[in-house]
Amino acid sequence: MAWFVFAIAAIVYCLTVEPTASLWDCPEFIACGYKLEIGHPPGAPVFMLAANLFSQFASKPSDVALMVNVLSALLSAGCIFFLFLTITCFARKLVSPENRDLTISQIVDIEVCGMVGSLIYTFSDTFWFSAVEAEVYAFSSFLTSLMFWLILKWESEADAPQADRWIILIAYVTGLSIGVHLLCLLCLPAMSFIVYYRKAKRVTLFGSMKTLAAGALLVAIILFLIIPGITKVGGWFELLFTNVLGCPYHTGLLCYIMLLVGTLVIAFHKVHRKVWKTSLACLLMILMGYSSYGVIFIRANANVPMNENAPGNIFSLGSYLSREQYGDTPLIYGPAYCSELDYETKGNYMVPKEKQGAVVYRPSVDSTRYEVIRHEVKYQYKDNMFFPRMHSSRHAKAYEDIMGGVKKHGNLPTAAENLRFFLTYQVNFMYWRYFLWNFVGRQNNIQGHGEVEHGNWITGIRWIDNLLLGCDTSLLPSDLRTNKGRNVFFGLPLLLGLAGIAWQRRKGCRGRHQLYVIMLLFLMTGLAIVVYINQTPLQPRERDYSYAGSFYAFSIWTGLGVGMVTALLRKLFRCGKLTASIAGAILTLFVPLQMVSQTWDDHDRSDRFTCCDFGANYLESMQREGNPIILTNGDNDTFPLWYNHEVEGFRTDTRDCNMEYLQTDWYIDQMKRPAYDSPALPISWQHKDYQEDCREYVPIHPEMKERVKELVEKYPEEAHKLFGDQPFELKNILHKWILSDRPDMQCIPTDSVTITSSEGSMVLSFKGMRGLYKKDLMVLEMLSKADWNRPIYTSINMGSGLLPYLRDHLVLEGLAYRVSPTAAGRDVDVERLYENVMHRFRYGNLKAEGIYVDEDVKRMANTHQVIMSILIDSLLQSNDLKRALAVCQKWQQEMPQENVPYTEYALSMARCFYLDGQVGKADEIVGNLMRRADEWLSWIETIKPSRQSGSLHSAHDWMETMQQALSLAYLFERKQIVNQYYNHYEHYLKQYPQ
Amino acid sequence: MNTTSNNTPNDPLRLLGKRNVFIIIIACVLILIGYCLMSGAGSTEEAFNPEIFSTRRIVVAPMLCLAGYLLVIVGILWRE
Repeated sequence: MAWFVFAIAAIVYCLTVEPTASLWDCPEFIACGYKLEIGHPPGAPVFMLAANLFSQFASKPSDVALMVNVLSALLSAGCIFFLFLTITCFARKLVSPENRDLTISQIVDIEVCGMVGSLIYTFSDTFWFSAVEAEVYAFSSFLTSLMFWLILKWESEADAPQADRWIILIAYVTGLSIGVHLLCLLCLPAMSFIVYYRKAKRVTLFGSMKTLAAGALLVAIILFLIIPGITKVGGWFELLFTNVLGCPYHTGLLCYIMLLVGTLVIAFHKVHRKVWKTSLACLLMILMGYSSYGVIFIRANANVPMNENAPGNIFSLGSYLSREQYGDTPLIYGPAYCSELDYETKGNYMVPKEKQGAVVYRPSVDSTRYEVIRHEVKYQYKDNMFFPRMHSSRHAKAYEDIMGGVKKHGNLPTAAENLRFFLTYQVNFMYWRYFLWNFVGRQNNIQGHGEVEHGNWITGIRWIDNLLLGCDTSLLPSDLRTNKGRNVFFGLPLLLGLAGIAWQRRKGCRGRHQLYVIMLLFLMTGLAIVVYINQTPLQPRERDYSYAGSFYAFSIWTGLGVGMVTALLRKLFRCGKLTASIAGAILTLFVPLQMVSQTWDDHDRSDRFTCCDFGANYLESMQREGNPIILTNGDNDTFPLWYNHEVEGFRTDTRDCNMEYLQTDWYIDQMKRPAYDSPALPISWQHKDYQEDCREYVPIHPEMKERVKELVEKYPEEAHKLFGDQPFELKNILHKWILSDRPDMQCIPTDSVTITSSEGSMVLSFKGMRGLYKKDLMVLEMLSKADWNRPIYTSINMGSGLLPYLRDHLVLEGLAYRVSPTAAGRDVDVERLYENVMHRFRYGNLKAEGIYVDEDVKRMANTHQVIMSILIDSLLQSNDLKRALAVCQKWQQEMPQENVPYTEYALSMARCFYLDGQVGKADEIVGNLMRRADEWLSWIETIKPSRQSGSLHSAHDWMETMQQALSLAYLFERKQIVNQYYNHYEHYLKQYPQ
Repeated sequence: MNTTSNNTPNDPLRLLGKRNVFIIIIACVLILIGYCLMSGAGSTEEAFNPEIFSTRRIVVAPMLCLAGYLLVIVGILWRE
């Protein structure tokens, strides 16, 4: 029966798997698995090995992604398999506690419990989402369910002589899970309770408290002692052998490993007490699993093109494992977002008080020893509080917005406000909402920040939803009503789960013990994570995937709910046991079937190639000569490009340079190395110049401009020596000032620099900027060294805050702007853009009927439409109607509005059709936009005033759209449409004052 | 309580039998060979080294390592 459920899950997931890479981190993971490269911390070496195996089954590079996705699908099906076994194990103990032979009705009960519970989880939103893409979460769910089942297996054999091998196996799986995702550790406390209940002669409250402490201690030991400790001690050995004894790098590490393993193995032999022997065996097994990080270490030393944090030495590996890149958040005691720094006097200045922490070592420049590059520094704050939940000063405005103002006591939020944020945002919005998505219903697949129209949970029962959302859901705009992410389960899975809890409670001691175990699992993989990560607002995406473990736990309860249903049927209808069991089976199996009817459409990613194609489009936007470089910023305009380079080997003459990573020394090192057909980037700085903590930020002092000019006039010879021939030429600013050894010259003495070349001179203005970060300095270095031989592009998704000094020197050629000395403001290279849009770009099969387009894919498609609209407008401006029409045709062919709904940019298409006399086609676009704007605006009107503020943003956007559409219709004298909607528009103008 | 010596081959209280330990040692050897095959010279600032993606390094070596890691599971569970 378990295999039957496995088959169902495997078939469902394999059918709906994405045929290529998915967005966010997936392209990175696929490249890491296929070519054993290094992805973002803390890395997942065991996942890499498994993905590598599966990628061998691909017949061509473009199938590698599919194979890794299939790995996720099969592992998820495996998780379902063990879930079935777990549920039936629990059910059997409740149905037949004395372990007698089972009657047929009991067998039916047990098997249906398993089926319903596991199928509910199979078809649930979060789990399915992670099952069809190449992420570590499917693997981690599999390991969690495996570990949990293993402890149940141990429990069934606990008195047998060889029972402890299950414990050792669990230790090994725990070790392996370190190389996948640390989420798996969270089931250890629940498992320790299973051990306690089995082995304790009498269960007492005190004993339970001790077990809880032991479980928590176990997690803490692995997380905070073993994982960081192993690398720390390794560091000591490295320092001893390399710095003191002069051996080559890694000698100390090898000796350390041999010593460590040798000591533990000898201890294992010498010790005779079972508890000690088992513990040592477990420790060895955990270390065995942990050793998978050897993959990361070895490959980092190969200097692979994707080598995040370059963890090729024990110190970098240590910081890679502890995810230092992401910073840490205060948990028990610390500053809040509005806390002030503590200052102290140092010489003539007031500087922030720092607490010097650990020393940071890195390999020396001459590669013979390790040297100290900096100390860990922790800033001291004047105002600290207990359990600070609003801790990030960068998110100060976000906290205030979400809370509607924060009451403070001095420089700290009051404890009540702190708690309010914790409960309303972190617990309620960022956890319970996800839980209710999975077991009650989900509004749509658009990320929500609290507004009524996006990402909330719903039930599907109209009057409840009207209350929940504070609006009239019968007037939902068609965009939201037809959103594929709208899944309603009428709360049935939740009710089943609650029934399961009730059933367990009724079943005496045994049931209650089971209840506590599952409850602990539920809390550890749910709310405990919420507390630990102390999340800030404005997350770039929904984070439901982190809590899949707690939904797993709840699914166990939904399965057990079948027992309650059957029991109720028996009581209410006084029917025979078997009749009740079969009736209960039919009733409850309806729930997962209803679920899949809702969740299939927004999880079926088959035939969709958008991530791969769109990544390729960024690369193809660049010209084919000169080995161009593209600067990108976010995950979704970087990883798909890396995927195209690493896995599909597409446009390997180009290089992608991510602006976030450009701030780090290990990334600049990578950029200075050639990769495939792309030569090293034109950076002449030495490692010591851009090392960690060196030139992170360089101030701009425009007031020094006059003094420099004076010095050039008065003392031309000295000035020439000091500042170079042209003092404000970029290459001189870089080499004479920023790279100077004198700290007082490590600044920029002007607010504008020039780049002179054969193509002319280009002036970069730093007006209004107070300084430049290392990444900006690198970009400037590349510009000055490239000398326009190596084209440099910036991705169209760069926010306006980044690279503002390049803003007036860009030429749009595709999804990227080329930095050009001859551009005046923002130019459009119409020929190149046309060639790209019409002939070089691929559109990911967005034209396929019924294809699933989620919000992120839609956004990227919209970006394509933006440049198409710019292209159409440019062509119309030069009266090239024929080609403008060709672009319109391409648009409608590749991105039909059924799949990618029109935005206001489609009005360029409408204008083109009007100019060509194709009024029908144009009216269709204008009418579509007006109708949808009307639907939205009339629905937003129904939202209760207290909840309307979040939706005013959408309202204003649609007002804009409506106004632009009306203007266009009016311009081309489309009287019918204008008359139809003008009154509505006037009405809304009054409703939504600008 | 286990107080007997664990040097008796058929001791039912023995944690890991001889065969089990043997399999685990073979697994460790496989893993080590895998890591050795995975190592080698890397890319430098002067040149990109396409050898970092040779079949030996990204096909044979990881498969040996994975085989080793999976064999440990067999080693733990092996029952005569």
